[in-house]
Amino acid sequence: MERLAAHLGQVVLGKPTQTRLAITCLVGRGHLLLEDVPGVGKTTLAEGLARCFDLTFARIQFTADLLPSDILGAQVFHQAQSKFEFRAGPLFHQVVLADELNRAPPRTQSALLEAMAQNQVSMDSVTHPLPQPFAVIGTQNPVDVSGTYPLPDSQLDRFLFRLSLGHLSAEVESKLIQSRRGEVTAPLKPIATAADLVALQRAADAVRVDPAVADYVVAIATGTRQHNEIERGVSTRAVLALLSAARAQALWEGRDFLTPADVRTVLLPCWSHRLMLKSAVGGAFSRDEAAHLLDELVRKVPVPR
Amino acid sequence: MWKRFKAWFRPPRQLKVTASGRVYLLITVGVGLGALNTGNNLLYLVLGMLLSLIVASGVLSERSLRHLVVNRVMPDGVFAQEPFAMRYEIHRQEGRAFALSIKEADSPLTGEAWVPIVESETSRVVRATCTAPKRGPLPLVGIKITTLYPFGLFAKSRVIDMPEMLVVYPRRGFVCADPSQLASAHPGDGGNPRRRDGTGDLLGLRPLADGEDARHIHWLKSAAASELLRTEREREERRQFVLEVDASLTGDALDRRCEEAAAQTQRLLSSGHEVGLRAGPRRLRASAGPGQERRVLTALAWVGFEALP
Amino acid sequence: MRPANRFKLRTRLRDVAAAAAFASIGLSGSVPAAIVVMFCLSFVLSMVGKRILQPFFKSSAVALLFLGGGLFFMVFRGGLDLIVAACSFATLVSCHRMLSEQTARTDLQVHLSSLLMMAGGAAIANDIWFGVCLLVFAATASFALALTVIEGPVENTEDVPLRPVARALGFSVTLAFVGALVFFVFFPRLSWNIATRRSPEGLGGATGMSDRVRLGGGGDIKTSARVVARVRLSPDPQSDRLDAYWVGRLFDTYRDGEWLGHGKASPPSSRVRLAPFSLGVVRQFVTLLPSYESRTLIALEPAVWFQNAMASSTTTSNRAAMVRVEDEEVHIADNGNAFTYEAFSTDGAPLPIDDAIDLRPYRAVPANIDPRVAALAAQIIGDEKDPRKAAARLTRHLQRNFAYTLELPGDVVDPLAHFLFERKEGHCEHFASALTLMLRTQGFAARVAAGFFGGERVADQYVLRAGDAHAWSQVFVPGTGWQTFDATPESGRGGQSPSLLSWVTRAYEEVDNWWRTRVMDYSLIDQVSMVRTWVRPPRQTAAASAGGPRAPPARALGVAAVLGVLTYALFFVITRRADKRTHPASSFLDDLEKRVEKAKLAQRMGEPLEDIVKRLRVSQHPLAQPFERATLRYLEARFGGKPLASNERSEQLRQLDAALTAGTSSPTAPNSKQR
Repeated sequence: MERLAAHLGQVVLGKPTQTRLAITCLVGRGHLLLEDVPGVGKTTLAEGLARCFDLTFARIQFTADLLPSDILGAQVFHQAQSKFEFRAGPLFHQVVLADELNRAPPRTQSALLEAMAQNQVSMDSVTHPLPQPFAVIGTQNPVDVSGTYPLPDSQLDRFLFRLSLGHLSAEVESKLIQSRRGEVTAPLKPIATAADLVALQRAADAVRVDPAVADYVVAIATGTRQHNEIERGVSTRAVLALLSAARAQALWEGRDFLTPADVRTVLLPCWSHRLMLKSAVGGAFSRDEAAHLLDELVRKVPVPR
Repeated sequence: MWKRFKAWFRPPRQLKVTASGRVYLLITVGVGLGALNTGNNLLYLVLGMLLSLIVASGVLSERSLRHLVVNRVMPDGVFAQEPFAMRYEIHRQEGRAFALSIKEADSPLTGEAWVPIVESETSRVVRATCTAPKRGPLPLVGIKITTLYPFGLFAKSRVIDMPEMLVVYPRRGFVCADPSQLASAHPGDGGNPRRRDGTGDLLGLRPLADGEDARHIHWLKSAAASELLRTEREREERRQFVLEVDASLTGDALDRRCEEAAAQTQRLLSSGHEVGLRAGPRRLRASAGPGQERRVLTALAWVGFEALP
Repeated sequence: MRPANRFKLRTRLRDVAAAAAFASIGLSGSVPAAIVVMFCLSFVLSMVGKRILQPFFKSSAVALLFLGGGLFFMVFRGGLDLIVAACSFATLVSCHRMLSEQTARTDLQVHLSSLLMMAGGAAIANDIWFGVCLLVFAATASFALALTVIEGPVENTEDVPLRPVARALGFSVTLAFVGALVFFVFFPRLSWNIATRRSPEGLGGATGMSDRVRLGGGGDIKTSARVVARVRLSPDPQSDRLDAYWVGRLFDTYRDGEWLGHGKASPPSSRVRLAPFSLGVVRQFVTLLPSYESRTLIALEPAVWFQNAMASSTTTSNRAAMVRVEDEEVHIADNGNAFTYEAFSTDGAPLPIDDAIDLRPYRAVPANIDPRVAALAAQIIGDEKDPRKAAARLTRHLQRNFAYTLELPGDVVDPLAHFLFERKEGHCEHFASALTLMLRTQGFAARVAAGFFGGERVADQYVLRAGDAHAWSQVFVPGTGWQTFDATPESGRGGQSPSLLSWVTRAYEEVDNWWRTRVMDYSLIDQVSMVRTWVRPPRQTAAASAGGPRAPPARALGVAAVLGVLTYALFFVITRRADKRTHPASSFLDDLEKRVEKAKLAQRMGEPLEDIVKRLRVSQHPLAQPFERATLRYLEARFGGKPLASNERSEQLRQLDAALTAGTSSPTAPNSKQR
């Protein structure tokens, strides 16, 4: 994994933490939501991830007039044989980059739901399984930019991590503009295979969770549910997601067991987008707020030792 | 000139004696009188102890308040009479600070932040749950840091100047009627009277005409009818509203109107309409989306406070 | 530290502070016993965490008011000293608050009422124990207060490391102590004396000296090590133990089991002459301490002259007149709780007395005396006519055949006969009475003397303790005068104690002596002289100060150190007790964290060990590897389900320690590499 991180670091400059978290997300069988202003390397990161693992990659540009069938594919009537044929949409790839996810109306966004949750697409009572391993990397612009729709809660809940890349530091940026020419991810050769990723995911599943750590996670979750500024605390799915992410995180250290520190590392990217705050206007405001609240919460929950 | 003169005379630290501190001082005076009166050496010893604890308390609280760098982390949206989280980032270059409470100096904001310990070379973000009493821009002058450390006898505070403007949106939760300007509002989708080529709910089916997009074909139904049918979808209702706030209103009436307008904005925007605002000299073009909601709220907050910078 | 543990620690500290404050008044012995019992009870209850008054807050507050009213009614009736009553009331308030619901407010109230107790204690106590109590109180109370402050306005559920708090507070409390000392030394002692308190009665323990000598009664005689008098001798005999007879009072009449004196008092005068004397006398500067509780003067036997008596109360010191009671005693005529005077005694030789004095009272034998006494005396003495030889024979007999005990015989009809013929054991008064009366039955003149035997050197003075009280006989030898004979066996003279105990008492004595001279009796004169030595240093200071009294006694420092260690140990125990762990690997983590601190790696607040290790690895610290190994092992043991073997843990720690010592011995290596 370290090798992967270093490899990916060649194209995604100056973001070691986010790169590592992105890999953690893939290993934890999760979907990734990248959120930032345009042009800070969201697409590069997503494409780089796919190339590293030698996964098939597709990019869907979400627009206001995008329809669900544009993503999933459609039943096409074959006139010659007089029967329907399923024409697979761009979703049938291992890594799907859903670019500018929040530009499409909520209805279209929710077309992704089933695919993300069950790794399959049902259409007209036929179920089409998606290729494995499967991951959606969504990118989204901050909501303040006009002409965007906030993501529905159910959709947000299906992303394992939400990351924000942020602007580059001055020296990294200057290095970048000196060196970068042409196709960004083209020189990136795959150094692992899809099978490797599956093996890593299996390894993450095998990571041992001590009862003390499980109690710790539940204590934090309970804290979010009892907090008087949080409209709705995290769901059980979120708790499960946190654990799977933390298990993947434990692999970085080569450990086969989970520590509270792993949980804390992945807590903010994993939960900050799942909290629904009372102060939020239509779920749009206060993105730092959730992170602050989680931070305060973690301080109060005693760490098992 | 006068300002500088006054600033010169403003004490750098303010000291307040707490209730227990008053009792402590009373006991100190009592023991002192007793010692002077009787000449009992043990009373002198106790008196010395009491006095030097006061001195030690002063030294320690000063050490706690020094070398503090505090930054405000402004909240995203503040509504009048609704608690919000004001955050302060505290950083300390050297030494530790204990038991600090942080609040806005000379401000109607209620609520203070509390931090038990600040370690050196680390920064910490603490929150204060504040409530703003009313709508409008609220100038913040500085941050008042108070510590009761070490013995809770004296509350020593220090003010760090940090002018900033906090815009308080109108109160929320105001039940409103539908906007009376509905009649005067421009209907959305002016160009298409039938409004049948939208992306909304299914409206019906009709045969596919030449040159029409094949994506609109409803394949299942077409197969059943052995004719190419296309779906017609409703164009989403999107109207424009321009809310008006009468600039001649003052006081409570103006606040009420602003609250009403804010509630209407929220409702209209969430059902997909476009909302604009006309308030006295200020005009806001009608638009949709959450960004617009903030713009309208900000504009409403400033109504009646145009004189402020 | 976890909030719950912090809360517990805070409560314990508060209770200890209250106990220290109570001890400061309780040790003086003037607090009513009911209050003592009440406080002890509520202290124990509070320590176990039983807040029994919580549900009855209002009714108990009313009861408290009534109790307070009762106390002040007792003051009004004159049964109780006002300050003692005020202290008792403060104690009751403390008890009440300690047993009520615990909030920051109640904590503050307990501390403030304890402070009141402390102030009251300053007024009624005078022991060195007060100093100890003050120290303990200030340390624990300020720490508890700081914990309350850190707890904050709302219940703070965050982990807060207490070590930095303790460090800062330790610094501040030390500062406060130094400040208190400086204030104490330099604040001018001017007493206004607007309203002085009458000196409390009944302070201090029992003394061996009393107005009469009684042979009966029940119970034990306590051998108290309490000092009752200090004497400086000139010329100084320089010996560690003086073992001399200090006579206070003489008795001539024995009636119904007790000795009485029948002297005639002369008018008070500023000096008293008992006998003519020439050169070769021992001059004694005597201080009778409040614990002496009598006004009879004592001096080495035989005393000839008393002068320069001063009576001092807590605030003033006045010249006092002396009254001589012929052939019985000399006492001070004025009131006071401590007295100083000079006495002169000849060098042991009996005073020459003309034979013309009336010896009849000294030969008188009570009519109802047991006839066996005379028979026994006649049997021992035989036909010896020389009083010295006769007395020596009786003394030998008594010393050989009778045992010494401090246990009193109880109420018997004739204590003397009981002692001589049935019990065959008794204390010094029995021996002295027996010797005297047996001599009298044979026609010799003899009397009983009461006073002290001993004299133990402390610094440049000799001290007499309550347990040194003694009684002996004087026999009239024609042509020579009164000669001393002591029939008590050697083991029974004075208050001797085992050597270790005596060392402890001596050490305590030195500290106590220092406390009295340097603290209790510190006055404006001392201040002026101190300032004068600084302003105009005397010429020959070098030689004088080296051996002078300025240097604090080494033993005093030792005792102070021991006390400090004990206080720390108590604190440590309290802290540990409040901080219990569950998982076996957690104590390994504790050990690791201790080593992190030892290596000065600057652990930040709440920073887990993993993060420190990561930090070390990034900065290529030489200790990164050993710490990483140990940390991984801890994590495995705690969360990975691979418990530590018993020897593995010590092995890990040993390796770490080896790396630590290697790292500290060459601390420059990593730095130079970085540069």
